[in-house]
Amino acid sequence: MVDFVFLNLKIAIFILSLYHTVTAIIAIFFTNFSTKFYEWMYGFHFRGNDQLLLSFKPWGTFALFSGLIGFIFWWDPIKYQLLSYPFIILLLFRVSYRFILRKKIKVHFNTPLKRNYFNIALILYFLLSIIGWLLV
Amino acid sequence: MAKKKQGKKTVLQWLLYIVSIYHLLLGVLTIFAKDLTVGLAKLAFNFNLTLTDQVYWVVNPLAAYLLAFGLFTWVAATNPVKYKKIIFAGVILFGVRVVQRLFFFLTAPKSLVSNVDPVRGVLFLLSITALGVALFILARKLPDSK
Repeated sequence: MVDFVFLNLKIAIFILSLYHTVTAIIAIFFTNFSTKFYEWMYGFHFRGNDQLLLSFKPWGTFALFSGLIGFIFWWDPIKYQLLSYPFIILLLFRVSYRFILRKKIKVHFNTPLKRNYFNIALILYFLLSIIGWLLV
Repeated sequence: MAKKKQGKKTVLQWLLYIVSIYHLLLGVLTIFAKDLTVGLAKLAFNFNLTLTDQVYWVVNPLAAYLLAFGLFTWVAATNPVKYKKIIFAGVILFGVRVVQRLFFFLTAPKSLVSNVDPVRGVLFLLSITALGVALFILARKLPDSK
């Protein structure tokens, strides 16, 4: 059981870190392409404008940092256990505003509710993988 | 006596705590005080932000990551030797942010740049660069953790 939970954590953190790194690199270096990428990934339909695209850059940089830290945590979760708590808070915020603002997301981004719930489920998987490992 | 010396914070730790508190405040205010977002964008990013319905939503993940960055640097401040890699990742972030700001000042439409005074802009960039360099030099001096 413990082995399975640990293996699951390693897989979850690896995917989470890779996801952050890839999406961040796209946001920072391929900003114009990023709107198409997010449309494919999240079902968001952006009405592209300069300030929206510019806001992707700082977001991408901080996401890149989280990706790098994720790989550090993934490398040795036991040594860097304390890093799990900021990740829990980050994922809690991400899942909360996706759920609380689900109707606004549908209206403003033309995102189907099912698509949003799928993303919420994915974030919950990462979140529960970390919490589950801490509890076992 | 030895205990007292151990409890004393180093310059590196104080710098990390300052960086952490700044980003924690920025993150919390952006999440919980959306009315202040426009002012904060102006103050922290020199960015003339207009809160459209889509931008209003997009600032949420940015705020969450600001908060996470603050928490990660706080963790690093508690034990810089153990979390040296986090400090280096933070230095990379500072480097990318400096380059981004430089590009922003040089290429962004003037209507989006809130601070058109070039001297103030350069001073701000220099202070962020100095902070990044200081973190890098101080972290490099740390021994490797086991």
